[in-house]
Amino acid sequence: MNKFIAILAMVTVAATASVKAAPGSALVEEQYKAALSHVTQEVAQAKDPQEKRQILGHFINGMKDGLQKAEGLESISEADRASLHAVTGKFFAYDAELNGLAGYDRVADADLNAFAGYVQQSMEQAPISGGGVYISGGALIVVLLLLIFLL
Amino acid sequence: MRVGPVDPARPGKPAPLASLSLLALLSLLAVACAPSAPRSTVPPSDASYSEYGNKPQTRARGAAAPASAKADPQSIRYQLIYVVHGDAGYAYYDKAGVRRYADTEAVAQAVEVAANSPSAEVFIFHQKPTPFLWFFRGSDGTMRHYRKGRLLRTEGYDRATREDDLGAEAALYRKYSLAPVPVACPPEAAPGGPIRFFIYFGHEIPVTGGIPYSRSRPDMAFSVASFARGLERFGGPACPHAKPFSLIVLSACHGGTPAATAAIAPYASYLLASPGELHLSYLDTRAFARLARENPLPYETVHAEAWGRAIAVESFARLQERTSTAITLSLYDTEKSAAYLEARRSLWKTADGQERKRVDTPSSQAAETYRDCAENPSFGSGGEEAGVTVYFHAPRFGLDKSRVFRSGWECPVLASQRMGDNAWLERPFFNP
Repeated sequence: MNKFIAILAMVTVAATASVKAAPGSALVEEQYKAALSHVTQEVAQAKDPQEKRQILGHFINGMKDGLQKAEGLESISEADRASLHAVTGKFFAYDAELNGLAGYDRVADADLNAFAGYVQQSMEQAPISGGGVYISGGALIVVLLLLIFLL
Repeated sequence: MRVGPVDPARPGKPAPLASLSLLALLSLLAVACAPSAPRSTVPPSDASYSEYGNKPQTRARGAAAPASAKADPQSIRYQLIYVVHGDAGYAYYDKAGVRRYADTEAVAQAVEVAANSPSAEVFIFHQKPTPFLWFFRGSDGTMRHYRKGRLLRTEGYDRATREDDLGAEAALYRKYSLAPVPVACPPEAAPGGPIRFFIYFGHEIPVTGGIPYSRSRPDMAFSVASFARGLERFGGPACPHAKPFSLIVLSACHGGTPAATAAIAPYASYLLASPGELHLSYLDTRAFARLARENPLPYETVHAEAWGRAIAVESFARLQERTSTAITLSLYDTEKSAAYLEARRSLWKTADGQERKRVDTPSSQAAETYRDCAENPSFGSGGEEAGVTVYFHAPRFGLDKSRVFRSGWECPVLASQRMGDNAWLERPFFNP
């Protein structure tokens, strides 16, 4: 599962760059969106709320960690760092809401399936079109290499 | 099992390395030197069509148009121009986990409108490259031209290489349209010719042109300014008494920023756009066909507002069914909206004409790139007094889930302030 999350974090980074990094980016982005959908379906199929919450928490924390490591790379530009930061911030907010922290109402057990769908749809519409979240192709390669070796 | 080429001089043995290298080199040369491939005439065969009523009727290129489609210009009441960008990531998954393609679905709904509009001429431009023989680059896009509900032609075309101002699409439109495009403003409002509508589906159109927009042409610029020039190529100059388009529908994220609406306002009486993010479920424009059948001439400006409202209401309902993120649609009466924005010009535009970005405030609780313009009291409420009708549905989750009001505009947030030194991560909000 850890590997899956790491890969998903990696492809999130790649998907934010999909427009710039033309070769192969379509495939990477497809995998990213398929993985998001997979998490949503997994949550929906889980039997009890505790299991659903565990799947979501594990996914969100994995994404946070992977994206923050990528964000900390010295070699990426400030613009790329800002793009990654915007995506990371969304996952911090999802984590806070899932657990009822920092002023958020805790997601009710009955709403966990819907919350998973909300996260999925937010990511589907945000990485590319959400206010110019882009990363350059050169930085992408460095980020991917780091994620592969560190996560 | 043996794979790869076999040296004919030595049957049964793999080709030597030199031969393989030569073959690879020749393949590369073939790709590099290949001329522009023949144009595709293949309409999309995606499952998305099953959602919509009518499949496209295909015609061989060069075949004569049906007699009923050879109409005189007076018999065409309406013209609809669809431009659907498909040269980027447009896949998404529905609630059942089924993969969908937003651009293909947008083309499918345009085809349904075209096939069910007997009094209209419809142009559908799908900006998506088509491969040729799986290997070579084909055309950059495909045009479908309908008249009186019948498909007249499907034609591939190449787009610009440096900056996309819809020049290739407009050239095809000018070539085949029954109605000529005005070259100058009439002395006064002089109704004549078909009523024009322009519909765009795509990702957020960047305000500046430095952001790559099309995957196959990352160096080709596309911006709000080039989009506005494209509108002029299609509809003619922005005349105060006779705007080229009755209604423009912009199905993209952040189409309702002050900069975008101000740039588009001169070209349309009404604009329907989303100030915030818009899920790839997109707007639903199928009402065009029904409205074109139900509304008799003479067409008045009031109809544009009614048509815009109908499309907004139906799109809003469909998005509510499909999505749990925030939905904001704004219908702008462009005359009023432009005046409202002009009076507040310094709030969204710098002295040298650049888009002004708001400085983030410590109260912001997420890494947002856009905020409601009305959060700045100087901007005002940006609602009806600005000629804007807002359709807003709060997200099911997130800090805005209890929100009941949004203005008709969203303003960009200054990135350097927002992202500086991981400031938001260090706020108490994220470290309770």
